[in-house]
Amino acid sequence: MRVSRWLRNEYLIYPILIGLLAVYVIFNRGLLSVFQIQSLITSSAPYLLVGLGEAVVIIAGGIDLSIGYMVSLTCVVVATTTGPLGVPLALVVGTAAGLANGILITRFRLSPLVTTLATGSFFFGVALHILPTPGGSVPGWVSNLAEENLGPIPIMAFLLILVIVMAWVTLYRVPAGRHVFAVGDNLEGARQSGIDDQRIRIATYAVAGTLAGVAGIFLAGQTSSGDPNIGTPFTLNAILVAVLGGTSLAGGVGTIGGVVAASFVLTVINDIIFLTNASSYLQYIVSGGILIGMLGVSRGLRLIRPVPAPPAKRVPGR
Amino acid sequence: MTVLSPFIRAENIEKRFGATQALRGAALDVGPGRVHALLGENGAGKSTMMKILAGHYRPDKGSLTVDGTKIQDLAHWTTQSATALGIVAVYQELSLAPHLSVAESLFLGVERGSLGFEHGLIRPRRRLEAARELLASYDLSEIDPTAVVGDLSLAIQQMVEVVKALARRPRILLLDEATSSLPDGYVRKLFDIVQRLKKAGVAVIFVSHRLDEVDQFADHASIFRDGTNAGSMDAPFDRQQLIEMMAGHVLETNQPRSAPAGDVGTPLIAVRGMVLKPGKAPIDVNIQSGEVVGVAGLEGHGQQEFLLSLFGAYRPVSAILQVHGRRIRLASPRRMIRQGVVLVPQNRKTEALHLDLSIQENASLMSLSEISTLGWVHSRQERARVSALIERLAVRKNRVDDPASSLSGGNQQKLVFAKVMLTNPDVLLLVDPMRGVDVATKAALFDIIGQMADSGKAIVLYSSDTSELVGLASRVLVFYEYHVVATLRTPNINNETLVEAAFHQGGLNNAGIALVTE
Amino acid sequence: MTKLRTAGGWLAYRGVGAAYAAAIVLFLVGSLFIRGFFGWGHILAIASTAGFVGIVGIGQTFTLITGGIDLSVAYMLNFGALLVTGITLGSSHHFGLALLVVGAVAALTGLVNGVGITFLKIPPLIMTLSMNSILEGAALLYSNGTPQGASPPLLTALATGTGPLGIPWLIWFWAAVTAVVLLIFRRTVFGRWTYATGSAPRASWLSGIPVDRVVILVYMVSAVAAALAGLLLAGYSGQAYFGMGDTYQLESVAVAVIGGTSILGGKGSYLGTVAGALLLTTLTSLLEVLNVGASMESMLYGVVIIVMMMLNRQRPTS
Repeated sequence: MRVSRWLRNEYLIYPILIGLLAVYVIFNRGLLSVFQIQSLITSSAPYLLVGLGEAVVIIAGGIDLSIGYMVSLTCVVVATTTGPLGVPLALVVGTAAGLANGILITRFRLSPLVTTLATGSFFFGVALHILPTPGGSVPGWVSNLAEENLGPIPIMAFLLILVIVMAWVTLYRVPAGRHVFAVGDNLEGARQSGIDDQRIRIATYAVAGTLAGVAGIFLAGQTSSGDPNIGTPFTLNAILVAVLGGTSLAGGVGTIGGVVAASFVLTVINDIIFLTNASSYLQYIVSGGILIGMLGVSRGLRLIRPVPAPPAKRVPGR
Repeated sequence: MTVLSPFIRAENIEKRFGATQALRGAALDVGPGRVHALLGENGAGKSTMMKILAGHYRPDKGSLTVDGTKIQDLAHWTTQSATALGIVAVYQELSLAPHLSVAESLFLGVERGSLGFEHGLIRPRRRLEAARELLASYDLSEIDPTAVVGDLSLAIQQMVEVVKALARRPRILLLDEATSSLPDGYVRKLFDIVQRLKKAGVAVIFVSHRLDEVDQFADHASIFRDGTNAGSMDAPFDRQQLIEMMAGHVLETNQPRSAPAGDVGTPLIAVRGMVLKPGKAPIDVNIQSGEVVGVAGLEGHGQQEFLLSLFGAYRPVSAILQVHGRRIRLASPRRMIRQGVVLVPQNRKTEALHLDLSIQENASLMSLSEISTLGWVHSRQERARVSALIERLAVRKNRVDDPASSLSGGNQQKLVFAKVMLTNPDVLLLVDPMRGVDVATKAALFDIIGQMADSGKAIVLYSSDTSELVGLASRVLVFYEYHVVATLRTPNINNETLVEAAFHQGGLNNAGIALVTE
Repeated sequence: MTKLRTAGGWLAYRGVGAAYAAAIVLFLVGSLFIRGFFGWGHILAIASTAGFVGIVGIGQTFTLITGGIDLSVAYMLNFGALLVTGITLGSSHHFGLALLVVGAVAALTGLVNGVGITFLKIPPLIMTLSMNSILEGAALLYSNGTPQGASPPLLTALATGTGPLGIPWLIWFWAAVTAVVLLIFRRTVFGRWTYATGSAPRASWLSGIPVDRVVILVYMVSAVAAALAGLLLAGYSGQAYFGMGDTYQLESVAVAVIGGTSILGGKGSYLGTVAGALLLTTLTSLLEVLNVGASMESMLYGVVIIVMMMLNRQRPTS
């Protein structure tokens, strides 16, 4: 466990982001304009939201493959609910969906991977049932929230900062937040320390659902309509952002800063591909390759600089 | 001694794990301000007792009394209920989350109670202060509370674990081999901590394998053997008597095996300069055909690593390995099996057997190359070979197509033996093969090991039970802190000499060997 | 298969039995309430449709048994289909070449997956999910976004034609493949090693099994099986199109899990996966006849997977 700090995945993302921004500036032949920064923030918003939710789940030792479909579900809920209730209803639906995931996984001891794959199918079905084809309408103020700027700063930026601050306070200042890390890091030890691990794990899935709900509302606002397919790519993107940001699938490790940086990395990559006039299909290859590349590189670096021998109790070879 | 109102009293405790009766009617009785040592050989039931007291296990039978009140509902005896009564345990295995900081770890799970924060939020500065104060109050201010636990040495982690327990303000503190990875300086500090707790009226129960510590720490000692009380003693302790109580008398009259005649010919397996951990003395051993070499010592002193190294499953700092006089480079289990070296690992369920697979599949897994051509398994040949051996080893009652998990512990162990014997090996490395098996199986395995030695195989046997070594080995290597501190030979191998040599302190003097070879 | 009790242990067979029983019950229920549901023709139609997901499920069964998962099957299938239609352009002329190319691409994909998982220690979920994205990009680049050509006549005949006894060629083919897979699992060293690796990796390593090689080979089998399904699907539809593999990602995992294969590794059988494929296809067919729509189908998929997982769930043994 005594890996030199900068070789850890959690810090590898910052140099990547800086490098990519430099490349971006070069291709852009100049500094970033205000408009570009605005669009960078709004484009990375949904990545950040779903990535944060996924990261929290993964830190506690789980995985959620239904996030994309929760995004779709909440998106269509907003677009089909008339009156002011759409947004709160979408948040409730997202949270409830996450809660269902958590309860199925912890109380019935089901595999998180297959369970969320299955519930994802269910949520997608519900979304499709509510709104079979893209359409519906979204209240103006939701669109404004997603699109408009307050002076030079997008309103969404304030919302994101609020979410980040709330996540930060919960993870680092509230005991339960610390327990999320402890549960993912050493489940048995956490139980011994008197932590109710099931409640913590259920809560992480619920949080992921809520954040997927926020992303769904945002996307509905951005497109001014509902689309049951809009969330499909976000399951991979959520995992991508979480793991790219240094969250370890083994649990117990992850930072909010890493997730924020990773969501920008994803957006900047897409923008660079767009700017270079390269085939937009490259986007898929890059977004798949970058994760493998980064995990491979960090593993390779560790092989070059071997980790000290493990303590006597743990015998290598696993 | 007479303590009128004992803090904690355990009576008639029984606990069974599968075929193993870990505790049979054990008892413990500790008063406030007392330091109570729990002693015994490996597998005597000390750890089980500690885990029952801490709520980690529930006893099958028996009663627990805390503060004079009998605990009625033992079926719901959990760590939480134990903690609520002020019973806190520190185990050898750490309960720390490796990625949290020291300060976070100390108050994990008890943040609200011990940090007293406003608005429900942790104030890291105050937590840091509290951690620093707590560490300083136990004279451990050199531990940086901002450090990440996983970056600390094992010894410091162990101390953090102790302080974490103290942060829970225990009234009864259980230290289960908490000193096993501590260097002398920290043992000293732990001793001071225990003295302070004692003055404050806290009861301390501790398990240790270091008799020097017992002399220093304890007011009273209970000796466990075979899951029950073998005696008790007040300080100052008579060491010779302690050892005798722990070792007991030799139960069976095993005919000690004689060493094979002379050291002629090339050894089947030879090790030169094997260093298991940096800075430890190298190990040199030659093992001849027909020989049973015992490996002894306290648990976790390198015996397992030694056997795993011979099998290519652990990478020692350095070693030269020869099988049949030929040097083996870059050993791996796969390669060693081809060279005729096989291992019976310690953990039956995760290392030796595939419980989901059938008995037959398990038995032939190591020797599939001999019953297959181009990757196609000849099932009739397989069945014939497996059934014959299974019958010989008397693994009965079950059909060979039943999963291995359907066998009892003893039969599972026989199956492991069948599996390695089907490869027709020259060298057998046995890691505690008789742990947790019943008496009948033990006797059968005794015979099997003896027969295999007689048929010219070389055998390395590590056992945590000294009486097994007494019965089988003609030579015993005694390990202490990852090197061999003593080599005992046949007439001198008995329970007393083995226990004596195993408790040998540090290897600075060779008193252990001198004492034994007299 | 007379000896049902070898390979995999009896626990797996409870799942197999439940899945077959559920498929039959479902079919009978459909027959009771829907006119024309019962009939030899319909049974054959269900069985041949089940062949596609059943063949993708081969790979999933292998990877799940080793304790992994392959989520790159969706675009492996799609890429395979695109390659075969693109190379042959609807003629038999280059069919041999097409087979060679598809086989090589699939083997390479599996190799990369396996190497990433074993040597770079990238979790299977991330490795294969990323690979899926890479393959999607590769497929888009290859066809430049618009699929070319049509399926060669031989494939069309295999996927849609009727063979001896009035049974579609596809069923004959699937039956033959099933026999081979069952033999691999039960009668070959590789099959044994697959179970052993997933059941107890360390015990396998200590038993001299080349664990890394087994895992790599398993992912190669999975990629090849997915590509094979892609060829058949191209033959069935006469052409290739984007998104043709999307549903198989969930469904291939679902049919294996429904058939009693444990996501934790070491347990399962292809016979169970076949049952899972029949069950899921019967369900789909029933829902199609009832005309409940794609939304209800998706929801029911989720429910069925979770219910079957609960049924197959082992009691924790003390």
